[in-house]
Amino acid sequence: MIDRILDFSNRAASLRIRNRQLDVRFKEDEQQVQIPVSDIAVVVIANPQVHFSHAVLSELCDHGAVLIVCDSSSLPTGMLLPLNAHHWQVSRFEQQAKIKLPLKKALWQQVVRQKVRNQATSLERAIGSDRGLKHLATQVRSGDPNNVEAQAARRYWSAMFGDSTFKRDRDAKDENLLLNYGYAVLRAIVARAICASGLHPSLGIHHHNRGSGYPLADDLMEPFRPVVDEAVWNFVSENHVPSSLSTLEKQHIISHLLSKFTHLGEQRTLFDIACRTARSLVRAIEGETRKLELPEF
Amino acid sequence: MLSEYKGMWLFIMFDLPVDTRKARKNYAKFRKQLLDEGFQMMQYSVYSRYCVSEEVSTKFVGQIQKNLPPAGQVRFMAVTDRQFGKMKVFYGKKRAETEQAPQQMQLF
Repeated sequence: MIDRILDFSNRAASLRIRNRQLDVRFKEDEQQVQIPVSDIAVVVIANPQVHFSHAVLSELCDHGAVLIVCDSSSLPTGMLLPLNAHHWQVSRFEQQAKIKLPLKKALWQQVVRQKVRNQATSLERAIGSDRGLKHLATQVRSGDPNNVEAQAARRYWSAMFGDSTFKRDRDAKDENLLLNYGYAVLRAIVARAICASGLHPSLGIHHHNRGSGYPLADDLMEPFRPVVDEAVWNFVSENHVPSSLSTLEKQHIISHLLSKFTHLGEQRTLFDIACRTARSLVRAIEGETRKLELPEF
Repeated sequence: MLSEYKGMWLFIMFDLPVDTRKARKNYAKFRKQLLDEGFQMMQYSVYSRYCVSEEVSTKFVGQIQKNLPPAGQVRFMAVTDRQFGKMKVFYGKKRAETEQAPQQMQLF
C-alpha cells in the first residue's frame, strides 16, 4: 500500500471513521479530507485540540497502522501498536521470550556494528571524514562488552554538529528537537514492522525499558538512526538550528524518511527494509540463521 | 516518493437497475462497498480510487468483482497517474483542477 504518514499538529481537527475511511474535519475552515485507513502507516497527534473516536483507534490497529501521541511540546509520549497482525503471534512471543543470552549477544553485536558503520557513512557524507568510526565498528564484540556504541556516539555527535559539547537529550531545545521527532516516526515504522512479523515489541534483545515501552523497537532501530541524523544535519546546515518544531522542519525530516534507499542492490523504502530486518530476526529466533538483515546506508 | 508512471487510478463505472426495491437495495450495497474500499465519487455512477501500483489496482478489481450486483453493467478501467493528470475538468465553462494523487506525507 501507500504507507502514508499523517501528522496533526497545527490545526484543531476531529477524526472519525465513515465508510471505513478516516474522515478528517477541520474546525476553522470546515475543510474535509477522507483517507483510506488501509493506506495509513503512521499517525502523529501533537495538538491538544484533535478529537478522535474509538472507532478510529480500532480501525488503525486493524489495518496495522501506528498512532503516536505527543505532549504539549510536541514530544512523543506514547504509541499505540496493532497486536493482532500475525497468526503465528503466540508461538512467536514464546520463542522470543526464550532467546538464549549468547544469541542475544550475537544479534546485538551485529546491530551495534551496523549502527557504527552507518554512522561512519553518514559522517563521511556530512563532514568528509568518518573520524575512525569504520575502524571502531570492527572492534564490536559479542554483546558489545566494551560499549563501542557509546565510544562511537561520543565521536559521532561532536563531529556531526561541529560542537564538542553536543549531547543527545530528550528535552534540549536544539538539534535534539528535530532528532526526537525523527526518531519517534522512525521508531513507529520499526515497531510496526516488528508487530507485522508477529514479534512482541516489548521483548528486546538488549534494551531494557529505556524510557520507551518498546525495547525491541529501540534495538532494531539503532542502525536506522543515522537516516534521521543525516536529515537533521542537512536541515541545520542549510537553515538554522530551530528553537521549536514547525511544519517546515517536520516536512524536511519526513520527506527524507520517505525517500528510497539502496538495500542489497535494490531501491527500497524504509518500511520495506524495516520489515526485512524484522523478518530476519524471526529467522534468527527460529534458529534458521544467526545473521540479521540490517540496513546499510 | 510516489511515481506518476507507476501509480494508477482505478475507475469503476456502472449502470444498475433501480426499478424494484430489491434492485435498489443491491445498488446501494454495491455503492457502499465502493465507498468502504476507499473509492470516491467523481460523478454519478463514476467512482475512482488512487492505487500505488498496477498490482494494487488489480487486487481491488478482484475484490469488487467478487461482489458484483446480480444485474446491470459495471466497467473497470485503470489509467496511470500520468494519464489521469492530463484529464480536463470543467464546471460550466470554468476549468477546475484535476484531482491529485494523495500525498504520502500530510502535515495538518
